[in-house]
Amino acid sequence: MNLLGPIGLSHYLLVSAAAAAIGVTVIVMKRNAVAVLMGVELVLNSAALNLVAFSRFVVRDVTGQVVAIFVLVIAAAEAAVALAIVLNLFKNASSIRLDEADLLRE
Amino acid sequence: MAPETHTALWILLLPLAAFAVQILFGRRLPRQGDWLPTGAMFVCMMLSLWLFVTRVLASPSGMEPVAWSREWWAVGSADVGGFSLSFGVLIDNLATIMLVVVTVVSFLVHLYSMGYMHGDPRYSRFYAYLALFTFSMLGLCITSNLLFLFMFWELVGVCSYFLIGFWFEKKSASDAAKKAFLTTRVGDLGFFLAITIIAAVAGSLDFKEIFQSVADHKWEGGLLVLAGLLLFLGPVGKSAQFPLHIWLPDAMEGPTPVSALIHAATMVAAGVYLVARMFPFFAGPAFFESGDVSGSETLFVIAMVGGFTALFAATIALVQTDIKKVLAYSTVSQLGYMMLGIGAGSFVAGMFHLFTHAFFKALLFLGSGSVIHAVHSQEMGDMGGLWKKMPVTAWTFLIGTLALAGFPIVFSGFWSKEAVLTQALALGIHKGSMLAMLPFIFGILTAGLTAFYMGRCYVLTFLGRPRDVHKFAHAHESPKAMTIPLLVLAVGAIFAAGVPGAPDGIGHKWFEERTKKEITFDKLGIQTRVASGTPTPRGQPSVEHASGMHHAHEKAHTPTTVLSIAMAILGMGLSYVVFAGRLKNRDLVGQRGPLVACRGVLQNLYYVDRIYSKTIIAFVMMIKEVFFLFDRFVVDGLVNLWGWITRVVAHAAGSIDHGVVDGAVRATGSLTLRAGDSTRKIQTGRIPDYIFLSVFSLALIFALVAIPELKEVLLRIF
Repeated sequence: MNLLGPIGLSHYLLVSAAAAAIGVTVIVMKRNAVAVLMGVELVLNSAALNLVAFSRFVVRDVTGQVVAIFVLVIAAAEAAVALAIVLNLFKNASSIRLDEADLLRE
Repeated sequence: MAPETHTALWILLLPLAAFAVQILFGRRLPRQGDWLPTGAMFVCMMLSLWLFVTRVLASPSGMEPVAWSREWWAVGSADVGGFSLSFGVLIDNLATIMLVVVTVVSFLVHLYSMGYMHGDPRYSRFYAYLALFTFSMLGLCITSNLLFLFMFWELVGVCSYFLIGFWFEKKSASDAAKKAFLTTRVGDLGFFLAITIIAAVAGSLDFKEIFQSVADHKWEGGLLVLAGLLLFLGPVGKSAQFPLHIWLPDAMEGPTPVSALIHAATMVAAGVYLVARMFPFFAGPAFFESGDVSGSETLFVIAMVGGFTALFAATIALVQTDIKKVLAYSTVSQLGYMMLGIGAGSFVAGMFHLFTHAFFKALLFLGSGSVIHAVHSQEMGDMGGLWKKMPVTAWTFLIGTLALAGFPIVFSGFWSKEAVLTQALALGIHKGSMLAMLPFIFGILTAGLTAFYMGRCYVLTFLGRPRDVHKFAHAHESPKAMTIPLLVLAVGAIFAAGVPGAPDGIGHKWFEERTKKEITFDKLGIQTRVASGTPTPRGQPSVEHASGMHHAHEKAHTPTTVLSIAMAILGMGLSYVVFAGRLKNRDLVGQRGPLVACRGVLQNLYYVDRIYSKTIIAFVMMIKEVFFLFDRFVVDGLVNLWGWITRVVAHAAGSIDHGVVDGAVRATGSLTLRAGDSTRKIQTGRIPDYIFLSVFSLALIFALVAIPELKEVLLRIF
């Protein structure tokens, strides 16, 4: 992978991987439920980026880009639902700290 | 099998059958089954009397001996010192006479018990025991083998134990039963030793074989005497001779019918019968050759023991206050008389006395039972003047008393006593020494004492004024079941010595003709060797007595008759004077001189019992202690040790079971629990943890798929 040459597929993939990694890290490590959702967004967006990159450099048609838009829509819907769940969580537990939400604990 | 054998076996087995039924079903039968043994005994009595009348009385010399036997077991051959055992019966005059005695007295006792034992809680069992006893006694009389005689001998002893201890709730009764059995056992030891010696020397225990071995001189002199003395020990025990007489007075604890049957007429007579049956054995080979048995040491010992016992017991009877005890000591004394007769050389005299004695002693005992029943006491101190209240008893008792005392001519006792005393005096005259006269002296003194104490007994019981007015008022004659036997026995007491009109006249001749040596022993066909050394053919009568003894017998007749009559009348007269005369109602013993001094000794029975308990019994008790301690410490110690070991082992096993086995189970369980606990920790319920897990797993799978090397590694591990 020549990262110093012209912008190619590798660059896109690297960015997407980085974003995904960061996103996963955020999901795993954040205590705040909303922050976790942000991480989820990151991961989804990285997936979209991945799709777009492959669409431009490999497949050379718009299929990937269309799917990326689908991903965005799904991300949005999922964010709405997730926020509803977090709201319910807050209503019940008076806190959105995930490390305190251990009612499912055995 | 000859008809006599058949009859004899029926007579033997009927009582056994009666016993079997009575003991098992007695209580369920109507009237508790008293009619069953009584009926059986009646049949036996009739059969015995039939045998007696048709065989014994019918001909002048009675019957031919009838023998039947079956060989049972043989080791080696009889000639070469082997041994054979057979069982069988021998019916001859002697046996038939015994059968009559046993069955008649037994039947009368059965009848009597219907009245006397009425209402007893174990009524049916009493009859069962009586039947068993009668069976045993009959077996003893008809067997032809010494070993079987011994077996029946023991059986009779066992029945005596049962019957003496019939009222076993009373400690004195059960003690008396034990004493009787153990004392006779001592005698039986001698008996058994003699049996083994005889078996070894004669090679058989059949009477005929034994006598043959004596006649064949197979016995060396000293051994014969030893065996004879050992054999005599049996009768010393069973017939209550000194020093084994101690059980008979105590045996009075048993019911009176028992005393009449066993301890007057039959069981105690078994010893006398044995001595008579085995007479050739005691007498030695001289019996078959010259017929003069006065040289036999064994017989002399028997005569001395018998005579001494007679005198000894008579002196004790003088001071007894219990009517049954008087009769008991009288029995011991009379048994001594019988032994005296046999020992002096005339088994005929001894057996004849047994025959007459059976009747009048049974009569006296049953009569005393009647009195006891009326007055509810056995002490003569509570009696007196009873002849008014109980005439039948009084008259029959008088007949018995006169017979026992030897009142001349009319009463059978006189004749039998005379026979015994004549023989004793003849022995003394023949041998000529003071020692040989002793048996006679004992005998004649005893005759006087007998008359005296029986007179005393009669006077104190029936004459004079009643000593206990209360008891006297309640006294009444006994029921027919009890008085009928008394009457029958009274007739027997008189006529047992023949009647004036009968073929052999009055006296003992009828008995002698049928039981004398020629009939009883020679007819068994013993081969003898006379002095010349040639064997005489079978059945040939040998010399009756040697002329010396015969002479002495003739000479002894008159003095004996005179003296015995004198003694009888003197004794009875004196007793009347002392007890009914001026000294009426005084102390039952009499206040006169020498009697008082001796009274202490006599009343304590010469301390014989005391001596025994201090010495022999003390020794046995000591041994008992030793064994008891051994049992307690060694035997029980071992048992306890074993128990302790078992406990320890059980403990160990238990620990292993608890620790190892249960431990494994528990370990598995706890392992599972802990594994579960650990694994549960994954479920924290915290979302971030779950997210992490899933992401991590995902990454791992990616790596596995993407990096072939990792795949290899993983595959190699698994």
